Amino acid sequence: MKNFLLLITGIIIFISVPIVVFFFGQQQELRKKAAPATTLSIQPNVTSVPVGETVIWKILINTGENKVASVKVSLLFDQTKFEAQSITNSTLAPRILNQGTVGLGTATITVAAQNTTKPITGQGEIAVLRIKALSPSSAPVTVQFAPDTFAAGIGEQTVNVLTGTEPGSITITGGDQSALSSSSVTTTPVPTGTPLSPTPTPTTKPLESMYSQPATASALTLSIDTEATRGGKPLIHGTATPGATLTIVVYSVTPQTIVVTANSSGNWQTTPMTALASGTYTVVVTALHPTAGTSETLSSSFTIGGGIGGAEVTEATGEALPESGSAKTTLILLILGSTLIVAGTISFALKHYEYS
Amino acid sequence: MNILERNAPQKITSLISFLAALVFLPLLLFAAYQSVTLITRAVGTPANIVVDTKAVLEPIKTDFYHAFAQGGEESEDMIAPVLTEVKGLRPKFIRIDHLYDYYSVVQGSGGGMSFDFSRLDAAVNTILASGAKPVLALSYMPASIAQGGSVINPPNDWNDWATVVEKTIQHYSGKGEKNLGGVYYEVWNEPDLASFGSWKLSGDKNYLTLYKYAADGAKRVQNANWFYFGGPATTGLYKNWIMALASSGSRVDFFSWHSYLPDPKRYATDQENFITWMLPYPWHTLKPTLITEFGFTGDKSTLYNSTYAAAYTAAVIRQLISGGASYIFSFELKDGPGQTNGWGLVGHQNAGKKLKPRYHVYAFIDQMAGSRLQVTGEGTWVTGFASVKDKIIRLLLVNFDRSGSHVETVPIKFTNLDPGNYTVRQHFLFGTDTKTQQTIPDGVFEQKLYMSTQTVAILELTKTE
Repeated sequence: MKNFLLLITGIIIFISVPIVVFFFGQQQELRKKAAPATTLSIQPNVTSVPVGETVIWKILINTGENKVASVKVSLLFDQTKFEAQSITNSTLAPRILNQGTVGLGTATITVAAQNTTKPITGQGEIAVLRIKALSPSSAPVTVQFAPDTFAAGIGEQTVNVLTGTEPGSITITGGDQSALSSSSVTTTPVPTGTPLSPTPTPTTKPLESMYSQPATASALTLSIDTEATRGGKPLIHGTATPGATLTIVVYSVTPQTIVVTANSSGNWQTTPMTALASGTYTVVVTALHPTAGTSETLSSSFTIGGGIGGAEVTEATGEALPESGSAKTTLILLILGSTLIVAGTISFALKHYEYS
Repeated sequence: MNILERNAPQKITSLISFLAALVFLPLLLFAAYQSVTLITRAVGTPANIVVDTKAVLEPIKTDFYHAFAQGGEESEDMIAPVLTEVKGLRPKFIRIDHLYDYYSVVQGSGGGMSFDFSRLDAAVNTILASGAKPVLALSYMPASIAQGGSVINPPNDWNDWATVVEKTIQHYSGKGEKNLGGVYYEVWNEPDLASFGSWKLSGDKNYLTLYKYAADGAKRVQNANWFYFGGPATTGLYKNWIMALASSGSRVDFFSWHSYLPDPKRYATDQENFITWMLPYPWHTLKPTLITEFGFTGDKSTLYNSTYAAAYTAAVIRQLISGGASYIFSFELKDGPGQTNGWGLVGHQNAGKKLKPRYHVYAFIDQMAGSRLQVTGEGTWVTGFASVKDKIIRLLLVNFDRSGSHVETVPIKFTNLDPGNYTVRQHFLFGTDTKTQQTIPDGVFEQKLYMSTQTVAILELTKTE
């Protein structure tokens, strides 16, 4: 009997040891592969800025438990309020995978850790955006993250570990309007090696709430002026809370994203940056409340008739020949044209001579 | 006898032609003038450069373009006769291919295989003597193990191919042998090209199989220094090839491809595409990317003998100066014998080792080392970047036009300068190098720079007090 009990005990131990090891390993694996917990935010270095001056915005990350390899930072802002100057990487993301590019109302860069053994972890600054204020605003103007912003984790449960983004806002005061025309950029503070400020994580908004909320009865309205489609650029307009930041996406072969700000009366309007060809399009408008941080979305479809739109029209003006150009085209045209005219004239003359 | 000879006295024909030309030429000139104006505006934007001298961005790398590839123009150590000239390029990496069909490395097959690295060693030693590290394209299939004896075919036994790769890496990276650190081993060269086997991603000539067995060989290497193992070295950046390799499960330490693109801006697009494709594989985004051959055309061209090639190279470097590939390899170091339109930076020794314009562009751009400054207003043809180092501010501009005839007068403005006296140096590659003294009381310095066809220039501001 004693031997039997010993045998049973031995068998139980023999079986339970690998089971315990297996489950322990599973739990360890779960702990190693953390859930997505990374947030991004953007902070200006000042709370208000005069027209014509440049603002430096810090793009901050808080990785939570995640190990982040690379981050695609994609920013949107009102092109009538801001002009992007540059975007580059910062201390916590020592590598640039895709160079910073700035456009009308957009700025993007992909930054990364030095290598897989030194991933981006913790809180700190990963990029710096410089934008110039263009026109005064009655309410704070927002710079927000676009939906294609991406934080790639290493060995995590999902590849994109980004769970939320926090836009930043700043008020643009009257300032010196002449600074705009002269392009004289005023002195701007240069980032220094001071310790990084912590990211305000508790206030981040889930991405879904920013871009996928259903339309509700609210101040947001959307209209599309089908009579204003000359050149394939319909007038997209409506109302929203005064000072709200509106992200308008016109879905075509290449979606066009435009950001505008509602004026003090709550009115807003824009047109596509590139003329649209004939066809049916969907426009989605998301309004971000200037103070509450809540957002709402509306969408609508419209059609552009045949014969209008297509490629952008470059209107010729009566200006002098630009300072740049190529003499090659002129020479080719001259030679070809001269040859044709001379040949044509001779042919005509001979024919005339023959019949006379 | 035709109608002209029959009916038209030569004098009358000439007179009519002359009168017609006289009447219509002014009209034609006017039309051409207007056409040129419209065409110029329609296809591009002139530059209007503004450098913010206080907006300091990231450090500039000046090593990534000091990489060069040598094609198989001759089945011997081609670099040795031009070693002095190659040293002048201060190369970081030099790539060679044809390891197994030019240097008689492998004899026999299966258990009877033997290796003789002496001829290849000579070529590698020359690379080392130039100050560079070798990038060895593991190519092509040794005839003794290849199906039908063709060097672009799969082997009769894949294990023989694995052994060839193992022995090669062991020989150069093994601590008990050549003991080289940081060597790049690239699996094959342009596998998608018919000349090099027209390999696919499936079927009998599957590149992934070629790669897998090469990786198996690399895995068997013992007691070696760190080395990089990768590919696919295709003729361009192809998503299906890159993704297939990334998801193959084989060891991939770097990704490589070739770029023969007439538009320098495509290099930035390629880089963006690569990173976008790799985002689902975050660990891959951090690995080196090598453009192991680049140029404006893969065909031989007399333009490689001209400033066109120099301006093109500068324009490409501008596109990759931030967030670009780890290394870009100019193709190629030396012309083959008898070539008058070769890709070489240096002419063949039989033709006097002539240094072509492109040879000089690398050292010229090296002057731009420092921290990058914010530049806005680049145009369609004139692009550039700025830097600051030891308080000296430099702006590099390149006027590159694919059609080869664009000229431009570029307005340039430096803002946020410290007020004071400055020495302004205007230095053209292959052109003038002038210095003037300027007092800049308000921190803004403006000037216009005429850039003729295919030119590269550096504008340098040094505060004198």
